[in-house]
Amino acid sequence: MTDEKNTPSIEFLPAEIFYRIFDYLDASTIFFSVRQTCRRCYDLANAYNRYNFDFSSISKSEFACLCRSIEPENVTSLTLADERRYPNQTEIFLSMVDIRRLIRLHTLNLFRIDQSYLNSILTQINMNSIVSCHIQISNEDSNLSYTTLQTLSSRLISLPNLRKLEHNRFMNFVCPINCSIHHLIINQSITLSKFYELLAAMSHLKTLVVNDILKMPMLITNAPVIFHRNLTSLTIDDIHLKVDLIESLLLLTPSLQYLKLIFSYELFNGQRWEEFIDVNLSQLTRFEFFCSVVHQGDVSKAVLEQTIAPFRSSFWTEKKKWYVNCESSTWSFVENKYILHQSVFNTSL
Amino acid sequence: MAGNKIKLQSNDGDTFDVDVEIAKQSATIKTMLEDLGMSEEDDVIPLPNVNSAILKKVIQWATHHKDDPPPPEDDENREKNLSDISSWDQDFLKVDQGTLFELILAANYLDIKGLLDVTCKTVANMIKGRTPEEIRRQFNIKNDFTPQEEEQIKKENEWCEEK
Repeated sequence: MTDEKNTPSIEFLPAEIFYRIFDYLDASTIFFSVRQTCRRCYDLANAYNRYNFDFSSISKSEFACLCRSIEPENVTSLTLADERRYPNQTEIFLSMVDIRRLIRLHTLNLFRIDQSYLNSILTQINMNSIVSCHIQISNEDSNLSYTTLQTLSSRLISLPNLRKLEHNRFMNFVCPINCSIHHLIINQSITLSKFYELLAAMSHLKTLVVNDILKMPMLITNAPVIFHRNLTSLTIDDIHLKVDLIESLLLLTPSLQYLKLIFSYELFNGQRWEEFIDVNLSQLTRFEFFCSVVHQGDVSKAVLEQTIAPFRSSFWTEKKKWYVNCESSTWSFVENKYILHQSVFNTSL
Repeated sequence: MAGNKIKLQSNDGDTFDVDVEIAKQSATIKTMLEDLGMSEEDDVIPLPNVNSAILKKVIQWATHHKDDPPPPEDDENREKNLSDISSWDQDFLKVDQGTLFELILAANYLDIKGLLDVTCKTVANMIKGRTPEEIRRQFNIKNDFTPQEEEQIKKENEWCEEK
């Protein structure tokens, strides 16, 4: 590739390669380190137009310098975080940067954002170019009306080019038919009817993460059963549904390759799950679950052995290579009861 | 041509027999075979921009990754994660800087996205967290700023901090 007499060095790399390397670096590193090494790097950094403004952990001086020095048109990813160490970051950013010039933004992450700033950003930025969006509304901002949150949720989920959406204050949003989202992370519980609605409307959905699925209110008893064959990853972080109902949900997602279930109370029946997965989730390669069970009396070795026994079949240990851990938890001693934990670690990643 | 193999020729004259499907991880070679009408029966595909040692490494990488899913088309919007380099790739890229940069140039010329990504990530990891002086030392870059230019950059930084 290079003259054999020369030892290849970083200076031989063409500009497009430098830009590709810059794609993996944050704006501070490019602007305050790489740019100040030599003339060429200075020019390359000034010409680079895919800056990642991740301000979730940045000093105030560097933050101000980047906001003033880099043209908004050259920013493609923006993360603002009104955290304790820098509580007014969004407000200061809006005072320093003309956000209408953020015309090439494809990633937008707003953490602990106040509603007034959120409205300002969403109305001034061209959201149609956004591909990935994570919005975490401040927990202190409890004055948001139901209608406001519903409008916001419906607007986010309808963005035409959005592929990944994470949000903590979804309200009864309207899900558009043929929604373009591939990865949806809902940091709260959703109703069972909303779960069915999501499956029906989001034909492109590959990953779904929810806190819990609530059985009430069930409004769609006559709705047609929709199988979702594109969904390959499902996580439910704090599941309270009965196993019968969980199974009926999973029957609708036969292509799952990854499943994570964290149960709040119910003991995980190894034999039942073996039969269910074997018949209905044949593509499942990674399975993680956790459940804790309050046990009457002492948790003897015999109890642990009895609980773990179904997970020692060839299905778990040889076919799937999913190894289950079962232990008594003395640290969570509550009212003369012990809590039993089970978790699965997949070693065949 | 015997089986599904093609011959790739480096710029120093060595030829390598490679499975067609492995070679097609290179979009450049794939285009030569599919769009430009070159057939697998043609004698050799010359690769004038890649020497023998680097081509051997590229083939080794492509052989290991032959069953990988195709990289996403939407290049600009791909996830930029510096920490997801597999242990095999990390071992594969424990090479001197000259070889690393030649691999980058070869991956770029041959248009092998996966190899280009992992080599660029490796260089980015070598840059991350370092000061300008440390980067100069790491890559043997000469500081060619004039004293006036250095002063100017310093002022730029001070100016935007104070403004």
